[in-house]
Amino acid sequence: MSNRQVPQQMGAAEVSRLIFLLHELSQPLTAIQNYAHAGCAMLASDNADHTVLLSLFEKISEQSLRGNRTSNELSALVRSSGVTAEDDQVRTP
Amino acid sequence: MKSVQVVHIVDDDEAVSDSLQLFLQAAGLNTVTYSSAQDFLDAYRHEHAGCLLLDIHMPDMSGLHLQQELLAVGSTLPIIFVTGHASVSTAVQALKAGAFDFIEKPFDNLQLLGMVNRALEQDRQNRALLVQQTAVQERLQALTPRETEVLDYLLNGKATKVIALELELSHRTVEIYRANVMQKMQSRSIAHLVKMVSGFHVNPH
Repeated sequence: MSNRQVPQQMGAAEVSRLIFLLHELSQPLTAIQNYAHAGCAMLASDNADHTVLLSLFEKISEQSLRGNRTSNELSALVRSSGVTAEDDQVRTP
Repeated sequence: MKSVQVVHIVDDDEAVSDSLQLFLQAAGLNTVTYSSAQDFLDAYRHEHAGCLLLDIHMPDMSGLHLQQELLAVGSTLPIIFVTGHASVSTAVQALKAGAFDFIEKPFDNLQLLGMVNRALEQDRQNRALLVQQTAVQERLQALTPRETEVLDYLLNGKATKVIALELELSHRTVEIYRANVMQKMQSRSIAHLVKMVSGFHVNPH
């Protein structure tokens, strides 16, 4: 889909929902990044606590799920807005 | 004054604040999280040392609003704003109002850590200065009206002889006042005295 098609075919409410979902997608990514950095710092020190590390990985997993759910909502929004794209344009090369 | 510095994290997203907390704790820093600007404001105390890591976009009270509330109560806590998307005008507004710095998501964690450490250093300096200023203020208040008058002359570079003439006192008396001023102000020299009270209003009346 080209960038130009989106504003032409989405209403104001859909665009604002899109912005909300993009923000909602970035939040778990930020969290995962911070959790991963915390884990690296703990592992790099000599007193890495396995219980804490375990909870970090659980949190990373939760946030990945959260991100994927939002990603699905984004797909649904794009589909419902009627924006269409040829298969070859969305396929990963 | 040796109080423990705390990084106060204010973010309405629980995962973001929790992860920031763990990241900063792993770097050896003390942290407290708040889920809203109001929560932080309710818990705020002047004597709490540290810095504030503040999400700029939050429902109810925004980060900028909290900054204004803190300024209104005379807070000097350095604020680092965390912004979701490039909003130059908002960032400029925050910096103009005295924000320590701002960082845009996605951020580099080491860059954020460096910024937080600099903000903590700024807070240490602010507090050291405040302690010093309070001490000087107390010394100034301990002076008698006559001593304050002599201090004012000394600050204007007047010699003892001149002060004696202008106040119609004996040279010896002025020297006693001068010695009292130096002692009460805990000053080693006139130069030291001038430096100490620069920025203070010395009112001899």
